[in-house]
Amino acid sequence: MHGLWTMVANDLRQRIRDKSVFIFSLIVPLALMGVLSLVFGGLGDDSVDLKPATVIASADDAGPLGAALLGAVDSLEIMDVTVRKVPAGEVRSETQASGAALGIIIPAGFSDAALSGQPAAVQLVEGNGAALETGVLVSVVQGIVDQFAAGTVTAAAGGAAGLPDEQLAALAREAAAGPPLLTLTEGQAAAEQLSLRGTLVAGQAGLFLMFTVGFGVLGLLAEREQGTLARLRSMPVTGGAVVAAKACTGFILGAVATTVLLTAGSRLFGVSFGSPPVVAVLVLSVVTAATSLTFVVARLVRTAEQANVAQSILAMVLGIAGGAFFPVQGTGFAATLLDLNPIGAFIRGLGISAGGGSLGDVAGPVAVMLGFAAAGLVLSRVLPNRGAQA
Amino acid sequence: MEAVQVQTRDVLDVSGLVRRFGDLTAVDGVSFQIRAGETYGLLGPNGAGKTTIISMVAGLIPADEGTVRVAGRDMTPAETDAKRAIGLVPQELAIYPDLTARENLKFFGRLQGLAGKDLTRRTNEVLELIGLSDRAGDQTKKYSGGMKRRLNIGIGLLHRPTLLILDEPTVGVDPQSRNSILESVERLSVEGMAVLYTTHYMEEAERLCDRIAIIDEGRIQAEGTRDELITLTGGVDRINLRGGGSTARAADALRGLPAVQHVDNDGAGLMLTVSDGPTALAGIVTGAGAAGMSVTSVEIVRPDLESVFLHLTGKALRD
Amino acid sequence: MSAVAAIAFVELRRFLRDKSNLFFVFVFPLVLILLLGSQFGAGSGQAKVAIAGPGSALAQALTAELESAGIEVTATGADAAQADLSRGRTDVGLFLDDADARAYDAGEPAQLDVVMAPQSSGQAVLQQVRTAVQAVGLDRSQLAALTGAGVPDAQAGAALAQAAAQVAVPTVQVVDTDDVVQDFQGLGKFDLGASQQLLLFVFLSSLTGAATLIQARRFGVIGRVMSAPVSSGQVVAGQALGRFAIAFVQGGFIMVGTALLFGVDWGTLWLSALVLVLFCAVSAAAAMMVGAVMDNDTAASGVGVGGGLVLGGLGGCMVPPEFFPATLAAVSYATPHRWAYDALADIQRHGGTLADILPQLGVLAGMAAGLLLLGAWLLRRSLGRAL
Repeated sequence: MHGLWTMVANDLRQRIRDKSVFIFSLIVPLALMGVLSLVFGGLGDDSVDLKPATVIASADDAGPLGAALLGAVDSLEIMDVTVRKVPAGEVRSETQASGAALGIIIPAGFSDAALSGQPAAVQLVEGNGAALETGVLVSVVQGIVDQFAAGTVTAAAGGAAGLPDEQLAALAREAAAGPPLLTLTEGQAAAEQLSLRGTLVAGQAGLFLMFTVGFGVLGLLAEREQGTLARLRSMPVTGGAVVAAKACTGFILGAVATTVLLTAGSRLFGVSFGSPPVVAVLVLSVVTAATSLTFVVARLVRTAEQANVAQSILAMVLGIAGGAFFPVQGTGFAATLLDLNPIGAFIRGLGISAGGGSLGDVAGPVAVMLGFAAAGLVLSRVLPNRGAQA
Repeated sequence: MEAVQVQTRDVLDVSGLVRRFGDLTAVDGVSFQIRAGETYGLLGPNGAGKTTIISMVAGLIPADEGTVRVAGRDMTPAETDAKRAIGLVPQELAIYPDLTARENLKFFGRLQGLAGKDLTRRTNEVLELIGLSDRAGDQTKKYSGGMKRRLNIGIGLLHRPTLLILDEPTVGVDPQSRNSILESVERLSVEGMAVLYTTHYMEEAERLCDRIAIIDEGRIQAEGTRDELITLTGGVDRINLRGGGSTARAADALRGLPAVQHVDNDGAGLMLTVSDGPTALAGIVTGAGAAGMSVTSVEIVRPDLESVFLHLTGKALRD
Repeated sequence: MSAVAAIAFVELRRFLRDKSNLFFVFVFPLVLILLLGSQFGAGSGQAKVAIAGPGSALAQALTAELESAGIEVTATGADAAQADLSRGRTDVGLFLDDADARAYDAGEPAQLDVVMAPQSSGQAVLQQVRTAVQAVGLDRSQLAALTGAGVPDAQAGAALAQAAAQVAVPTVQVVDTDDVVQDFQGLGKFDLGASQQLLLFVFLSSLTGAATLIQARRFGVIGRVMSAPVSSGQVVAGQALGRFAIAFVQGGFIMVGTALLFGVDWGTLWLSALVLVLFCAVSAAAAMMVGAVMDNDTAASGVGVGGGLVLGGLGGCMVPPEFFPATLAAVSYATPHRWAYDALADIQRHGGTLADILPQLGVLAGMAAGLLLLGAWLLRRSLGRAL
């Protein structure tokens, strides 16, 4: 035991002295988090809430429908909308210049045409800025116009069915503006996923963890290349202790780097991962999985060079499949495969803890990571040794 | 700790050691013993099996057959107690380039069970011994080749092993460092440490070793003190003829002379073993000239370990 | 010149001989382009709604209405729908029960449970669901209004169907869409990803190749070459040419590979190749810089990976720069990636000619020349340093 810790301390001292571990484990992932957060920032905010939006509208319609439409848009419950009226010819340019979410052009005589069953169209100009708000508003307008249409159709159907003319207007109103038959009650889904920035932070931390733990176990190869492995084996420590020391070094480096990355990432990018004890359990689990994987790598390679490449391939494949750069979706078998990825499980676990999940709630992801670790350990015993541990 | 086991006066007892690599038998039934204070040399050309023997003695690899006992304990790769008794100096450098000399020494010292003041004292003593006290705080990657070699040896000495194992410690070392290494080994031997020393330089073996085993093709060809080994040659001398021309024809011609026992042709000249060098010399030079060799220099060498090796194996002991 | 070519050739051969390079240089980019294409190409960003509950007329009507709005609808169980919502695998979940179905069949009011996924896309999809539910409800209201006025059921339905076919109803026309969205129309599923990954990987592999330059310095190879009767300028040129050749082989491979495997349209081929040549020159020169400035090859590959990814991200190789906020878009022009991206985009999307992309080519050539001079000077200086 004494020899084990002596070796771990010695390894850690060397890794700290060699600046590459800092570059790979901290600087590069933090830089990437920053850049990814910047470039993905343009794709939309993390916030689930709709932002206040401006609508540029022209209302040349003398009848009631145009006003009703704009009134409905203006008094929307789900978002704060400001309607600004401009002449029809300026709606397009004004929408683009002012960064408004939507431009609405209601042609003159819209109400008359709509009510009498003549063709009429509300024209929409999509803004360049807020895609989310624009999409919501387009759908809102569609819904209102659908109502107008329903009224028109009902009135026409009533006429065709022989109802008296004076009854038709009331009929149209009843169909279009009566109390809706189907209403929606909004429920809450348990939030079990990270925000975009949270995913980036967690994903980069998980991806570079694969490189970090590699500095431990693959240090065996360095020992062999500098000749110190033979000397260690002539000393009163067992071969198992030498390998275990490397695993401990990788584990410690990985746990520290991941903790630093999550902490720094959450400070810098304003994301929260939830209860620290739960996050700690997740970090330890993913580091265990990653460390066990490096044992498999150590079995498969002969040289430090090969080890680096194998490590990078695994890190990239698991990282990308786990959603370190962008969310990856799969269905059926692919989805199951993705669920078994330790980095994917790590990100999912952090999503659950960020949503307020407790230790019990992250049991699934933790089980995946520990299961992966166990499988790696078994595999590294079964695989033929190609040299690194000889 | 068992009293029974430490009664033996042999520090190292190697018996019937065999190691195979696939079809190749690298070590084939090697046995020898080393007593306290004795320096024992394994002399043989590269590839003779010296490093394989050392690897089994130091517990780096298991033996296929035979036993190694160090200070009365069986040595196997799993046997950590027996390893406390040995200090290994591997042929290749075995130091951490990112650590300083002091850190290297302290790390390996701790693994050997040293700690606290004892560790600090021994570290300082060894640094003094290997002449690195001034540079003890520098990372070893900044050292010269000789300094690294000295540290490589120093680490093996740190815990005062009963048996110090040196595997070709002077390969690729400048003459000055080589001399200082040889002096240190002589001093340690005087202090009572048993030393197992492998080399393919016969001068080193002659200078340092109390007893020498001549190794070739995985077997001990002969063993004894320098003088004992030389008597094996029957007092034959060696004559080295340097020069050009048809050395091959000259070699054939000289093999016919009665005094000549053996002729070895390395292309740049001939190496002969003869029963009485000074007397046979004139005939040999004449014979070589007559066979078409233009002799540029002649050297008579009285018997040495090189002669013994040539005598035993019919091969020259060279790189 | 033959000395320069000899040095360059040795570099290229060393690179190709190292089998471990082959995965990252040749296989990985293509796999990534395939993955990106399948994730973000056709159907990406499509809204997903899960409808949980027993099959019913209501469920069918909602499904039809949602699908006509271009939404992907899946029928599933309540628990599965909840889990999918939590994990963001669906945007909105509609939870129907038997009572809802009966009320709908009877033309009576019903309250439907809806749950939005806790993600930003949820809001937009929820509004689409509201609109669709309203539309389904409207159909029922129309019937109810007619039957309420005394029209028999069967006749009311027929009259509505007839009226819907005859009467012109007001519609919504989206007359002008987002510029950016328009710009991407007509791009093949893999086209965007292919040009982004081409730039990302050519630059990335070149930078990580800086480590071999450091090894060459450490092993004394550079020193030995310098001692041969060649000028230092030739050595530097040979190294640069070697890195350039490696970059060009990889870039060419990606272009040909994606064209053949995924049908990526690279536009006017010689123009795209010209952009690649200049971009490779910048990459090679950047690698020379890193290889000359740093002394530790492990650290250099860290800087190579990090720098390659960071610059690639800033230059629009991860998210199209058209989506960048204004400041970031301005910053992106400091990277060679952005200039090459713009040039390739012009060629691929708008059939740009040499004259159109001349500014971009000029900037790339300028960057290459500047970095090459700096790299050469630094490499010469580095030879005097001990490693």
